[in-house]
Amino acid sequence: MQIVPGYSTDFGSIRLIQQFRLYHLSRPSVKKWRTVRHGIPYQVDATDQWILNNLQDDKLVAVDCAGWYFKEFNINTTCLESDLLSKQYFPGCYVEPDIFIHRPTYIPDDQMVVFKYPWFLKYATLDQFINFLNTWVRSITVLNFDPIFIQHNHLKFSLEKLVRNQVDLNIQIINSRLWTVSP
Amino acid sequence: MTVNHDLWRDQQLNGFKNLSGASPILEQEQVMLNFVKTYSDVVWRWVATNTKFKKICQQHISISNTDYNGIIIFGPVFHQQTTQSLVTTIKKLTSECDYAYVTINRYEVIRHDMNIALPDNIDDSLDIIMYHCDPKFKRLHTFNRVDGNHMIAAHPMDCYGLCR
Repeated sequence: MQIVPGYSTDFGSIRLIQQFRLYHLSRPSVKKWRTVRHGIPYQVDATDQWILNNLQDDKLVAVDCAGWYFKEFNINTTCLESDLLSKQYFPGCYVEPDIFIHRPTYIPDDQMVVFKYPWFLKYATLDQFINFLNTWVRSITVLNFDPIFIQHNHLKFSLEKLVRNQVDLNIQIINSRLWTVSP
Repeated sequence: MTVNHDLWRDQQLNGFKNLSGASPILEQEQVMLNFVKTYSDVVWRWVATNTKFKKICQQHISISNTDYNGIIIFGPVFHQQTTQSLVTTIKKLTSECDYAYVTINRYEVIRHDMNIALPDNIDDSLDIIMYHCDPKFKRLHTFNRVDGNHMIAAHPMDCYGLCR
């Protein structure tokens, strides 16, 4: 019997169908967006609605969430993705594989930046999360994620308190899965 | 994310190109097999996710839900537990068994509501909670990082063995 030490794409190359499966798993908006082609309005979720209600201008940066659907709402959207597969759906997106640790200089410092369940925040360590915030937060940054999946003792500590102790950023908790962070 | 446990494990494992052999298994599943195979005379009750892995296990151990003295527990039975409900569930399920294999998805334990202080470290905290289930529980495997598209739903990584 062959033993798989952990589910990682580093373990060996995965099949193309699996690459697509994982891509869609972390970006459910793609499937919803594709229905728009048939004349069905894009069905926003609570986070989308919050963004639409709170966006100060008509520009935002959507990171690793196939966020080109915001264009359906006449929002000037810059799409940044870590997976080259995104080009299959939206050739106009930027692809940056090291998006977790690198904020490209062409991303403006004055636009809202949105992350929706980015894969890299799942099982990230607390230090990685802190570095991520310090790297990315130049303007109001919307984080739609599961705080429990940032590695910490969630049975004893609140992630929010741990983070507030380590960064000099303004954190607002909209709900248990939606934070906004600003400088 | 909603996971169909019946399909998830097999679908994910089949996604690898270079796996050889008919029945690849996860590291934590191997830990379980090593533990339960140690007790060759034990008949095990299966209170766990039904995947192809159960069929693999049946090639190595006896499984019966009516006449057993060991129990294997993981999967949906531990969905969204508090520490108190987790302890209650494990105590109840293992009360009539001499042997147990229990594995927990730490992210399905969502709140601490027992009147005990937990250590700062999550691994140590889970060990304390299992100690309250039975002091003889021993940790067999520890969660380690996997990527975001993971196999924890198929077989969690905080694994414990009990031999009374």
